[in-house]
Amino acid sequence: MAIQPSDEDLMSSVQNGDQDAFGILVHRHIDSLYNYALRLCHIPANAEDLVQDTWLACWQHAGRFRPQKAKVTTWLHSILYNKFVDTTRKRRPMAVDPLGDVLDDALSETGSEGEPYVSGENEQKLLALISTLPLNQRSALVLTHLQGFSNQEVAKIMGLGLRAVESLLARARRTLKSNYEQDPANS
Amino acid sequence: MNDKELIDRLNRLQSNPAKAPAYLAHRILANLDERTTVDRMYDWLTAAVWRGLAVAALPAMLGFVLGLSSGELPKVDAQLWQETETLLFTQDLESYTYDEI
Repeated sequence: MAIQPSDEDLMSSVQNGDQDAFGILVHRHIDSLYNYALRLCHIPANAEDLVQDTWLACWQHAGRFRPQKAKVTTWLHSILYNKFVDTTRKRRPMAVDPLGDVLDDALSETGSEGEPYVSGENEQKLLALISTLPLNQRSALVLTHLQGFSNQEVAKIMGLGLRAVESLLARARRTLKSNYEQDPANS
Repeated sequence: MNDKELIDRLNRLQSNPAKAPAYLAHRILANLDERTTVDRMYDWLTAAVWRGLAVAALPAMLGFVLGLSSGELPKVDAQLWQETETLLFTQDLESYTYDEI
């Protein structure tokens, strides 16, 4: 069985302009990045744009990756997070009903084949509630529980201190629990 | 719902991630543009502070090395330097008594 090159080896090749190595990296991590993007912005078309911009930035600025500072996945997620924050800032401020449109969109999320991403009703409700959290709490929660990053990695991705991430996570869980219990269907 | 239940439910979501549409990877790879030499140079320069400093100091270093390699002093300067040395030596001698010399 052939040994798969590590992400760091592939990035090293990408830094020398190797498109094949870049292709392997894209196929290896695209689902993870898409999942994160979708949990951040809810809308599949926006998530696709975000993922595409992230990979383009990765290709164009591959020289800035430093393996001693972060893993490739951490670096990619941090690019995506920063791009999402930039996009959100540029847009006009939106008055979002926290349990209104966003919740409906999240509940009706479907994959490219029209199948729901998450089959269980409880899981769908939970995803819908996550989508109503403030941006930084949502990002910290998704990175930790859905993407499987450690708190330290989340701190690197979001450019925060470890204590700030722990605080965000605690607030996010508290808000989730509170909103979940407020739903009459769950009481 | 207690904390443990919440974390269990959140972790269950991890095992069921959304998958990127199949066309997305192809679209990304098809839209890849070639990085220009300028992009690569910029990346190399900005990757570490010492690289920028080294490039900035290069003209000064080059001038220094060229100056050193040009060898001897001009003739007029050499003659002036010799005369100054003689004058200083003479002044030095004046400060000693005959016995000390």
